[in-house]
Parts: sequence; structure tokens; C-alpha cells
Amino acid sequence: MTLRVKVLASSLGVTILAMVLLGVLMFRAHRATVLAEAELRARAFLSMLSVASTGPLAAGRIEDLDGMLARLIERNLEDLDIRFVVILDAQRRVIGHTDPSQYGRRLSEGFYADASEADSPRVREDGDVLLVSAPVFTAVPGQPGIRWGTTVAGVGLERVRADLLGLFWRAVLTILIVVAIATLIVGSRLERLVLRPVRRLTEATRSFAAGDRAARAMVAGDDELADLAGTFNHMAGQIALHTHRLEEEIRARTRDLEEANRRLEALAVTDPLTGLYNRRHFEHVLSLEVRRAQRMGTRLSLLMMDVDHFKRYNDTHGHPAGDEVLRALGRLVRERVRSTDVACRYGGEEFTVILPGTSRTDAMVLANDLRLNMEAHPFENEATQPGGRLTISIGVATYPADASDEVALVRAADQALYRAKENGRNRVEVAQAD
Amino acid sequence: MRWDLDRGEGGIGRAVLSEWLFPVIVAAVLGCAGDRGPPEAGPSASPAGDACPAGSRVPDRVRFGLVGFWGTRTQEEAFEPVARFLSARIGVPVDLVAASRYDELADWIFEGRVEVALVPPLAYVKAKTRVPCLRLLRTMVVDGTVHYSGYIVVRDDSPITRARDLAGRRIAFVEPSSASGSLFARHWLQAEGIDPDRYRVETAFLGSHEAVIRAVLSGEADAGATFQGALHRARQRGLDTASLRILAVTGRIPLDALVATPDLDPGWVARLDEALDRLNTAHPEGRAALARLVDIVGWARSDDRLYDEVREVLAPSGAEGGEGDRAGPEVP
Repeated sequence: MTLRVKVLASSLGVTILAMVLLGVLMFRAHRATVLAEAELRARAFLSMLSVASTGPLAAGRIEDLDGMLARLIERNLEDLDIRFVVILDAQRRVIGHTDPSQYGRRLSEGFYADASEADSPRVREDGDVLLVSAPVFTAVPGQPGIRWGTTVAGVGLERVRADLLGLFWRAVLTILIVVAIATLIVGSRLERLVLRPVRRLTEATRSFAAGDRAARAMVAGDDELADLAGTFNHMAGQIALHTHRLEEEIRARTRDLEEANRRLEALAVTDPLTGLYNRRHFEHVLSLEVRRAQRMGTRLSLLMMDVDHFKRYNDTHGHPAGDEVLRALGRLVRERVRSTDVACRYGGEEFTVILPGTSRTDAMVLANDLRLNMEAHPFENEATQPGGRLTISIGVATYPADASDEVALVRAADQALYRAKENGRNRVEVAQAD
Repeated sequence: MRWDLDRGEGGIGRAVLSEWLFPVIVAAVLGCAGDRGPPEAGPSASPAGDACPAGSRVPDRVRFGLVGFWGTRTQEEAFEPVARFLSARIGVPVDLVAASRYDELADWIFEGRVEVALVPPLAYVKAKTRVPCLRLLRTMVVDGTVHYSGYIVVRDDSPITRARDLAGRRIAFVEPSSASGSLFARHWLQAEGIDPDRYRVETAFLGSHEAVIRAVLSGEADAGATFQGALHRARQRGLDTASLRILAVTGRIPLDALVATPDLDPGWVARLDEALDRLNTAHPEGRAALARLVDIVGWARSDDRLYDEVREVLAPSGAEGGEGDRAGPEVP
């Protein structure tokens, strides 16, 4: 059930209830008034009749009473809604009646008995007739007096009831009109004051929830809903601002993290002394490159090099000097290889270079260039080395010519390096097929 | 018939002074309440009930006083069933005694010669002045009311149509102390601004309502003071009352008072009062007792203040006491 239906139903319910209650109260009040008017009319009539009938009743002048009643009938009692008039003597006998056939009856029960006993007027509804009585007596003011009899008038209630029925239908019609007008007014005001603002708030909330940070509720006025919309807009603005700041912060943090990761990753695969990749990275990359070469049907060459007589230099000139040699060799390698090549410190004074898509010949060229560059690079105290120079020996192996997998390829390059050492150092040797 | 020129001072001529005021002055001197003020001292001349000592006499006979203005015998015969009714209920004989004039009845009350009396209104007021503890039991009810109307009547063919037309005319009254037959009629004339001296109004007291009506019918009087019951009575006696026209209604006057003397035992009076409760036409036995009294339908419980209307009319005239009143209860 929508808010519109609920509010309209509640409003109409209250309106209808109030109107019905009001209608009932008014109906009852009007009914009492109409009956009171009928009673008053009858009492006024009986008051005059009682005065006029006192003498004839006291003196027993029945003919006078009859004459009086006959004149009353001629005067058309219907104008007063009086259906009949009864005059009872002190013994409750009918001694006057607008219906002559009632003469002489003794009325000792019910309303007539009560009316005959009472010192004041009595009133009772009896079906379609309102019975009203008045005592007939002669009294000195303040004294009990002599009761001569009782007059009773029967007031027909048809006109009263027709009047009440008309009032009832008018009340029903009025209620319907009021309810219809109330429905229109309440519905219109509800739409303008409540439903439209609520709808705008809902739409703004949905848009905002869907990510539209610019969504705002446009509600004018100074009521609670406008205040709510203002609060919502303020909240949405604050959320958008905070979100923006948070996103900026996240982006900055992400960048820092990525940088840190990169640094960490670099540290994880880099040899701190030479700045080349370490052995773990070498093994990982070599495995990948061999599989790639297998998959692509390309060639792959591996250089494995070693500083000649490095232990001697290190022992003679100290570890810092040895480290400087290793750093210089790392620079020389890095400067010479391609960006697609992977140069690593394999361990101690041993270095490797993975050359994807490189033939043995091209690998030989590169290896010689590296050897020559090393030989040409001046090192402090290198004169103490055999030959007076710090040199390197290099073994070259090529996949798939020299090995079928990475392990075999390393072994082949290592064996080539060994032969270069055996053959005099400062030279390049290629792997030989078994 | 002696016609007097009314001197106009208070509307009362020599006849009034001689026949009305004198007895009142005497009564004031002789009355048991001689130290008490005149009636105009208050709306009711009656002392508070507690001021009157309770009587103790339980009579073995009751003398019921009446005014027999239409004839004492006639009046006694008319009231005879009433006497029997009361006697049967109070257990002692009731003797009817009819006075020929109201002052006589007032004297009987004053002298204790009657225990119960039916007194015309002005006579009651005067008797109450003389005997302040006189106990008012009831007021007579005629035609369903405790009042009657006083009239001034003229012949139907008379040119008199308003009070001023009475200038130079002869007006017949009943007696100076008759309420409707004199007091209220004079009061009406005063209220209408008729100064009898200036207008040379001639007046005469003819002694009875019937005499007044006859005088007007015969032309001896141009107008007469009487009351509705007297017209009814006259019509019954064959007088041509249809030839009369009511010039004025002089006032509504309380009917005759039924009184008991103050020396009677209150318990006995209560028993009498209880009997009177049923002495009306609403009860079959009361209706039988009242059969001879055509107009009287009972006696209603009363209050002395009812007669203040008479006192108020009486007071400005300065008159007090007097003799006679209207003709008393009409009898067949």
C-alpha cells in the first residue's frame, strides 16, 4: 500500500468518522429538539385546554366540554399535528374525546394512569404518537389545590419522522459532499506537500546510491520535508567530498604500494652488489624462456662468464676491491646487452646472460664484445694479475642445439666456460655437442 | 331609593362614610388586635402562624356561619347537604346559621358564636383585621376558579361606552363593603380618573346585586356594580340579562373564605380539613353534597396572601372594615 493510499485512507477515515459522529450528534439533537417542539406545542395547547375545561370539568358540564372539543376539531387540530384529545375526570373516565365513541371509557392503566396520578405534565412516545398530559386543577398559589381531571393530547409523529428522515438523507448527502471535497483537497495538498517531495527525495537517494554523486533532492519550502531534503543534500555533498578525498587517498596509497611492490620485487630479483638479476630470477627467467623457445620454435643462447683469477685479486687487494671489480663487470654487461636480454650474477664472480632469440653466432659476438670491454676496462691494481689485466672467460651454449632444457643448457654453458678456463682464460668457448 | 352625589374624596360619599368607615373604625378600636396596624402595613394582615396560640376547644356541635343574602332560609337549605357531609366525617352535628348581613356574620366570628364560617372576600379581610388569628381553611371554587370578576354593567342600548360617559349619571352599588358591588367598582372609577364630584356622579346603595341589576334594567340606574355570578343568578331568576352590556371588568377578586375560629383544637381542625379535601365535585360524595349549590364545585386549600388583592384595593381608600359584601354563594 502506497503512502498516498495510506494517508488518504487515514484522512478519509477520520473525516468520515468525524462527520458520522457529528451527524449522529446533530441528528440526535435535532430529534430531541423536534420532539421537544412537538411536546411544547402539545403542552401549550393542553395548557389552554386545561384552563378552558377547568370550569366545565369541575361542574360536570359535559355538554360544554363536548362543545369545546367540537370547536377544536373544526379548527383543524391537524395543523398542530394533534391526532386526538382526551379529557379524563378525577376517576379517570373519559368525559371528553375528539372521538365520541371513546366517551365513558375508564383508562386506568399505562400512560393514562400515570398521567392521572402525576401533578405535572407527562410525556411518552407510543408508536407513532407522542402522548402529552396536563393536569386540570384549581389551586391557590403555593397550595395543593383540587384535581379535577387530566387532559391528554396525542401528537402524531409522522411529520416529525418525515422531517427527521429528510434530515438524515441531507446529513448523508452532506457527509458525502464533504468527504469528496476533503478527498480532493487532502489529495491535492498531500501530493504537493508530501508525495512530490518524498518522490524527489527517493529519486535523489536512488541516483546517489547508484553512484551519481551529484544527485540532489530539489524540495522547496520550509517544512520538515524541505528540511529533510536539505539535510539529505548536505549529507550527499559531504559523502561525495569524503568519497572523493578517500579515492584520492586510495589512489595515492595504491601508487605508493605499487612502487613499494616494484621495489620489493626488484630487490627480490636483484643482486645488491652489481644491480643485475640474482640467481633465483635467472633460473626462473631461463625456465620461462626455454619453454617459450620450445613453444615458439626459436633459439636461445646462454652466456656464462667468470672473472679470471678473481680469488687472487680479492685476496690480494681485499674484498672491497673485489666488489668493485664485480660492480664494474655488472655495468659493462648491462651497457652491452639488449633490453630483452637478462643479465644475472650467478654467484661469486660468475655472471650469466640469457639471450632470447639469439643464435650461437650472435651470442659469440656479444660474448667477445663483453670480454674485450672487460679487458679494456682499467681496474686499480690489475697489474698484479696474471697477464697484468683483469679479464673474463665466457662459455656459450645455445638451445636447442646444445641442450634440450634449461638444466642441460646451464650445464653446457658451464662446461664451455670450463673449457675457456682450461684453454687459457680471457676467451670465449662454445658448447660442444656430446 | 336615595341617590347621593358622590363627594369624590377618595371616591367615597357620605353614605360610604356612614355605612362603611364607621364600623371599621369601631372594629379597629374593639378588635382583639387593637394594637396592630392597619391592613396596609403589609401585604398580609395575618400574623405568622407561630404567633397565634394553639386553641384547645373541641366542639360538640359545629355552628357553620353563612350569609343568607338571597334569604337565610334558602341559603341554609342549599347548604344542608354540605352540613350533613361534614357532620358525617367529623362526628359531630353541624348547624347552619345564616346571617342576613355580612357584618352580622363578622360579629358572630368575633364573638365566637360560630366555629366555622363562609365569609365573602372583603368581609374576610375585615374579619381578619379584627381577629388576626382567624384560621383561613379554604377558598371557595366556582366554575373551576378561586376568583370571580367584578363588572360595571349598563343597558345594551345605553350610549355609555367609556368611563367618562358616566359623568352626570347614576351608578348603583350594592353595599359600601361589597367587593364587586362597591369597592372594586369605585377603585376602577378612580383609576379611570373619574372624580365623582367633578363629574357629578350620583350613587346609591341598593342592598343587593339583584336590586342593582334590576335598577339598571329598569333605567333607574344608568350603570351598576355587580359580578358575573350575580348575572348568572339573575338570568336564572328570569331577568333579561341579555339586555345588559358589560362596560368594564373592575377586577379579579378572590372568592369567599372558609374560616375557623382560633380557639379550636388544631387536631380537630385538621380532621375538618381532611373532610373538606373530599368536599368537591371531583369526588362522587362531594359532588352529591354540592348538588344544590350550582356554581360551587369545592373549596381549595388557601393562603391569606390570596386576599392581598382586596387589601391593595382597600388600602388607598383609607377605608377599613364595613358591612356587607357581595351576595355570597349563589344558590338556586
